[in-house]
Amino acid sequence: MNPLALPPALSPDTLLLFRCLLIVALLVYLPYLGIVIAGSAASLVLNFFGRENRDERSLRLSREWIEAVTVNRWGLLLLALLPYPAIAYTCQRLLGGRTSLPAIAGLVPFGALLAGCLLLSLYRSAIRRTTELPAAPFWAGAAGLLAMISAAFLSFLLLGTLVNPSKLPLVRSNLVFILSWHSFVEFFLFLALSFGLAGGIALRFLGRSKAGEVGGGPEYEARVRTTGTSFALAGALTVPALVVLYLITFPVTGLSTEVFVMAATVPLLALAVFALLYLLPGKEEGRPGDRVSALFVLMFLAVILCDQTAVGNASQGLSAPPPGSLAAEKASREGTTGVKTAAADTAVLEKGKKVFETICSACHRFDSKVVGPPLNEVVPKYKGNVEKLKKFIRNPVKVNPALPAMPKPAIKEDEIDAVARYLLTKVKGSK
Amino acid sequence: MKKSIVAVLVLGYFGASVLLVAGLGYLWYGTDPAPVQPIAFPHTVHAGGLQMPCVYCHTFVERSRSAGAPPLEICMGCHRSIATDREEIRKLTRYYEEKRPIEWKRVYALPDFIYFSHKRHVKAGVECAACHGDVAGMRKVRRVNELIMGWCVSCHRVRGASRDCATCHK
Repeated sequence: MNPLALPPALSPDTLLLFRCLLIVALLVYLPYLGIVIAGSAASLVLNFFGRENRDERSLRLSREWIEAVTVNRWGLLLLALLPYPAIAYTCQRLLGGRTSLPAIAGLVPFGALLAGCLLLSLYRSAIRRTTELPAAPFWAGAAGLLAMISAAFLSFLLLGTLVNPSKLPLVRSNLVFILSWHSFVEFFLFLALSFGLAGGIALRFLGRSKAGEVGGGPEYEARVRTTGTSFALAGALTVPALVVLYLITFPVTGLSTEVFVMAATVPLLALAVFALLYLLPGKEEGRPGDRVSALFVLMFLAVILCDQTAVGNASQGLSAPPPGSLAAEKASREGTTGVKTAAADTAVLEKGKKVFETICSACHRFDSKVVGPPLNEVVPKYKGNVEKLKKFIRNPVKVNPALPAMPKPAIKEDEIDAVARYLLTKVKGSK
Repeated sequence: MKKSIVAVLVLGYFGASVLLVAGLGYLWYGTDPAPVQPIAFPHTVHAGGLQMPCVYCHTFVERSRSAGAPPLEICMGCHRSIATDREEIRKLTRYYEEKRPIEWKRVYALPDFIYFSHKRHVKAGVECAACHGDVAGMRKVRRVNELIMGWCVSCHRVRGASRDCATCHK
């Protein structure tokens, strides 16, 4: 068994099913994980500076951020934790299993996700009691954020391996090979899209103060709008540059026209975000949050589809070698040279077999018609007459008008002799 | 005024990025892993359906550094009489009669500083498909490996082949 041989291919239907499942799971997992990362980062930073400067509005915004992005405990569980096993499983199936990847790709990011969810919930419940956080829950939140970021990064390493399956044997021999520039860039693209999407979410859901609440009012709402807008704009402005880098680092075998077209839609969608938030005047009074979020989700979709198209391209033709290829031929040859027989006859027959397998087998089988007739039918006609058969092979003439004339084979006299003897021995009833 | 300058600059940036994506696409077109060949030769028919051995056409693979594209004589050996009414075979016959070589587009290429020999690899029992993928299933041949050094070295390590620099970098 060749240790470097690639895993056997899945049937096209299974492959399609797995790929669709992966796309759906990613479309839930990545945007949500992104929102959690960007939102909790914003919350932690605002909380830190709010406590330093005794700024009531910052503290309030900090609380609103984390409440909005973590939805609630069930939201965290359903949106961030549950899709991951599906993703890891489909990736494993697409990669073919039997690798050293499961531990790293399956358990470590899942553990990180779990830890991140728990720590962020802790932070969330602490901040709901009082915005004047003591040190412990604050650092728990920071650790949770770090865990979420590392889970995202490891997920991108796993996805990077899918785009470049020819690297799989390398990864099996040394895990360092799982690192790639493509994964790094894709991770940063993910972060940019996440911050943009979080900005959209902020514009949509944050700053809806109820009357009479402390720290509310139009000033606070303006503050929320500025934060959300700047997040979305920062995301929209970094995305085009990252998309270009993303394409530059793409493994060549994954590229196709579709990949470029889908990648080109991403800067255009980012441009739409920019137009919505900056160019169109008077829109600020309304709430552009819905549209901004939708545009960023579309960008996520475009990048995921881009990536999955590339996975499809790169895995084309990468499947187990067909049986009866060079290796089988080689093995049969080596197996027989191992048995050192003195009889010259056997050597001739072996030579004939080799000639048959490399030359004649292109058009002839023993039991079926391919281009030429089945040999089990035509060889018996020679009734064991080697010379007659040799004469035909040397200079073929058309016998059966329904079949094309056999071309003159480019083989030497001794090879003609060997193959004629081989055929007469092989086909029963010809002697 | 200031706002319009910013808007123009940012629009320029977005436009430039889209142009860059298009430019990269154009560059990629030159290095397409599955280039359009002068004759649409289907490996699916020959290596797939007919199960012709690779060596039948790539005659030099067992005894030379390069596997070689088959001479037209080999094609015409069968196609003088088989499927002569098809468009692609007519094209082939025209090449043959005009004594012009078919300019196949290269799918795999190693840089000049790499010494690579097909003969050695075939002798060591490496299957064609280990590097070239399932060619028998490809209607149009497609590059499936990027031939990066780590990939070569990992296989050399597993199979116990030489990992001396001078083995490949002569």
